[in-house]
Amino acid sequence: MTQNESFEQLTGNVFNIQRYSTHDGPGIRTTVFLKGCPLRCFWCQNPESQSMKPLLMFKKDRCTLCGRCIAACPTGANEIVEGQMFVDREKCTACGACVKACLAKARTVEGKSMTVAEVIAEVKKDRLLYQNSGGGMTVSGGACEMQPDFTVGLMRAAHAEGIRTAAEMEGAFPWEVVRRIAEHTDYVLYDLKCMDDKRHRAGTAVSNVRILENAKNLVEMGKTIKFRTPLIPGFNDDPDSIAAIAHFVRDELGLSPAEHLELLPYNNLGEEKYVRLDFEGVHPKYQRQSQAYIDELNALRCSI
Amino acid sequence: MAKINYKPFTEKTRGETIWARLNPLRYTQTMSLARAQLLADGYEEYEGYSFYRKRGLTIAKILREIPIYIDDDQLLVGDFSAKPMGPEWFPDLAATWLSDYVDKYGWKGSGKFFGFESPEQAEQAKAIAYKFRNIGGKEMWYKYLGKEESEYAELIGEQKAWIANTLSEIYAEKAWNCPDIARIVKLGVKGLIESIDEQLEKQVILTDDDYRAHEFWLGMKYMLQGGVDYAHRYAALAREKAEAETDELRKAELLEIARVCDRVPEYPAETFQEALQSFFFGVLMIFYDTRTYGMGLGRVDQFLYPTFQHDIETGYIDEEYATQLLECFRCKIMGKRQFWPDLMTPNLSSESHFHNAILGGVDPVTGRDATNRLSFLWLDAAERVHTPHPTLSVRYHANIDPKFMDRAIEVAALGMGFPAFMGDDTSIEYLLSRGYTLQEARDYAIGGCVLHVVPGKNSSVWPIVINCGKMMEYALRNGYDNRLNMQLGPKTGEFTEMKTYEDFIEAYKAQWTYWGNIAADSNRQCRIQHIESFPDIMMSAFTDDCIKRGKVTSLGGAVHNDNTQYIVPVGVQDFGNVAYVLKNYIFCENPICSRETLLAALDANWVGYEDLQAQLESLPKYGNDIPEVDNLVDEGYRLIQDIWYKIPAAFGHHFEVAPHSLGFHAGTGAKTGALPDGRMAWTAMSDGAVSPRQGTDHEGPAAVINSCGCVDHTELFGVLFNMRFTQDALKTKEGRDHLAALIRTYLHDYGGKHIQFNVISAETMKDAKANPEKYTDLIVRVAGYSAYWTDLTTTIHDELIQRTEQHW
Repeated sequence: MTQNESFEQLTGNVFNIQRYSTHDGPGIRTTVFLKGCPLRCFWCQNPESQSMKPLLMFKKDRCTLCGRCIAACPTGANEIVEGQMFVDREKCTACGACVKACLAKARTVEGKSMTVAEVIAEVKKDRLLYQNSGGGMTVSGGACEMQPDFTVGLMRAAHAEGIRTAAEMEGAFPWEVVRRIAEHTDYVLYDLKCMDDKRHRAGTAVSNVRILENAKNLVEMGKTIKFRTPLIPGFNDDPDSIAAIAHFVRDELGLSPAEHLELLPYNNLGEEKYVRLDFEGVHPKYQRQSQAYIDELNALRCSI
Repeated sequence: MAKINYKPFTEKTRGETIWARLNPLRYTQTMSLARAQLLADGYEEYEGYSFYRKRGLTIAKILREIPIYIDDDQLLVGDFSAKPMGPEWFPDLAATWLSDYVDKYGWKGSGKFFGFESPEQAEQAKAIAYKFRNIGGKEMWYKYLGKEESEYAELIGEQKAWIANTLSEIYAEKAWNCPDIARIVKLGVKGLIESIDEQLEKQVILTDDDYRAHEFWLGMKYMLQGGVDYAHRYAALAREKAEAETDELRKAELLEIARVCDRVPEYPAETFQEALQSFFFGVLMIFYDTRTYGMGLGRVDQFLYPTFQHDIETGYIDEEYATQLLECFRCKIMGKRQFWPDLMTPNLSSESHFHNAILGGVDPVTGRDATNRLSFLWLDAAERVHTPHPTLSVRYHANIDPKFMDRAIEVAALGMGFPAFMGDDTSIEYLLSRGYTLQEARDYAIGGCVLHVVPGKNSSVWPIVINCGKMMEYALRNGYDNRLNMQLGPKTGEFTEMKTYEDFIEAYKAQWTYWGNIAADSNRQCRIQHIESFPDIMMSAFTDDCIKRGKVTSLGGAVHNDNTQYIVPVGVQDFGNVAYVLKNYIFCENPICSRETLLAALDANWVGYEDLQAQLESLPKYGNDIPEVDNLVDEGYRLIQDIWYKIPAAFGHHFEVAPHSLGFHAGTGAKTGALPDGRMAWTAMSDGAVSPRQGTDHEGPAAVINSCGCVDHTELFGVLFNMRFTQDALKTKEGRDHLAALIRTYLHDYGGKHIQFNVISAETMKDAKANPEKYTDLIVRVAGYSAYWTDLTTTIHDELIQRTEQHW
């Protein structure tokens, strides 16, 4: 067995492979989303990514109550209650039998075990687009650091195919894990959510100490890196919070916030997912910041 | 020469100012009978001359006598009608339908179509129709066929079975090629007449062919002289208007118009305005002869460049004035209106005349990028005055100027549906395979919306549209037409008794072969009949070697005739989807249902079989990067080529296969029953050539172009591919770069031939459908052309809304 074959057979938990991604690094990319994340951001847009286990996602509005899923389910998890389809999450094993049975395409299983080779076969499909746009593969999450061997396997396999790589990192991991991934990555996207550790803990359930340390280490390592801050209303979208992050980038990392820090306006695309997963935690129904306000924050960022 | 003086335009551009005055007339203007009446008079006056000479004298008479006017603020003159934005009628193409039209709708018209100015004018139209009752092209064809055969043509035609468009072709004049009108710019009428005289002087008439050539030359010469007189009339009118004009700048403009019209088209053009004016006169001279549907305008940034460069270098004009002239040209082309029978409208429901202007590409000699400053100005002009015509196409190749590409995408993002992008690689490869020289192939332009033709080298062409939906239906039904309740096709076997998928394919091929021969036969006869009654004499002046050979383009005058006849198959993508279902889910070990059940479900249009339909619809469809389905679309095209390459066409060639559905996917679909891929009866077929069926592609743009790339484009004569993007995706340079990468991947790496974008949101379209009055200026891309939303039928509206919106 050659060395390549050994990592190509590694398996990981993948919940989405998004082709034609244009916001996850340079050019046109295919983003591989891995399951599992230690953070519990209260605004999380991909709640299906948090756990390592596959989850059934059910788009209730598409359901025609035809009942095929009831017949298909081996554990009897589906039933119609008061004119509505109901999924008993205790019984559901996310085996996917109902997904096949559903003609309305109302059901999907989020998360499946895939080998590196299987993922790369999908990624390879758009190699011409990567070549023509300067794009490549981005591994995202969840947090890709949750599956470091698999992530490194993906990066190496992509490189073997002549495809450039990027990783979207959370950073709340031991440096050794972050370093291993970064070693095989051409471009790093790195979240900086909040400089105040107390607030960071309150908002994401983890401390930012390791995140900030790893950021410094990555810069020292000489990685091409882009820092991103999701603007969460009332959490970090005030000028002081943004100024603090920009100062960190400038003073501690020695980089220009104008070039290396990007602010991502709030969006509520993840809202519906909470209902579809029957998740308790209700996604905050915030509004996207006004363009004028975003321009203001960007001006502030660029002035630092 | 001193620098030119012209009026400044600040609030609105010159083009916008002119167009704001003309656009409302699109809805209110009445018919003009000027050409029709002069034609009738001319035919009487010159009765006794040979047909070519009579035609020549009559078209010259039209050019000398048709009422003329000059629009305010216009810098170019000449018009497609005696009335601003009015339609002229061509009774020499088809006459009697207008009598029926008057009888059906009265003198005020149908509301959707033009009315007459008075009951008297309507009567005048009927009188003209009566004169042409036996000599209109359509009437002559019907006579030639006789009662039985013309009834059969109607039966298989677009109003009944919709197997092939046997009828509408005879109502539409032909071009779909690209005459080299640039030569009127370079040589002037004088130069063209010299080459005719040269022939006349040395000619000895020995044979009937010699005699016909002689009359052809005379006819052409009369028309050319008529064109010079037409221009001189404008020179006189411009001087007259200049004298009365109080605004000094406008007076100067009018005097410049007069000076230009004194010189062109008679003499070679020396200034940019002369060149553009001469070119437009050339377009009009061909128009008054044969109306020229689908005539390409050629490489407009190339042949106009020398005069432009000269004027800029000498300081005679600045770029601002040049751009204003191009805006004026856009307004002028918009003056061409369409007027034809109801039967044409479900398929071609807009006013597009498919006059495609080509930008960019490569130099024919060096093969290097040919983009120049004028390429940019054509885009600027289109941005300044939002008219759907003339449509612009950019020839894409790997070394295209990236700044030009970015600008082209920026203009595409305005949502007018153009420029479209044409792939140089396989277009040139195709032409080389058809015997063109490398220089000719590199010089290609576009005829119609997507046909790669070489300016001045091809004859006008003759297409026939074939409905793949019917071929599938008949293969499933043993040739029986369920809608018409009759055995129409050959018996190719009961579906229920077929043993294998291959048996079905054999039946499908047998249907194609049978209908191919019938459609080809109709097409060949129709073509000859048409040329006899409606010869393209003026176009022949701009096509090699018509003058030398003494023949019109379509009777062997043109040096290349490989594409003279071709088919437009509609619904090959649907075939791919259907074949995939039959191959993997019907002719297999555990079929999804029995064949009896499938036929029953199709009969019922899925009523009572909703579950089966949902199951079939959820199976893989073309357009999602699933090679097993995509390859079947490729095979679908190859299968059609294999059949049609054996069917003889004119001049020793075979029929070419040119899939570009125009609006025909709506018309054909409306007469096609349910299909095994879950498609409902009477809904539109897939549009274009390689676009996925509306609403069945779910994997995004990368998957779509991979699917399209599965179809080998090289042998296809023109391929059409529509994609829709939201406007906001193209606002940033980054977004445009992504689109440029997509275009490069498709056109260069995959050898695609054409891609165009509808940049608009589905919400906007839904609103436009509900409130059309709010959207009188909304332009959308339908197939190879752009059209006003309000000019389209609701079927096309629905279909446009359904086309999957692509986000990124």
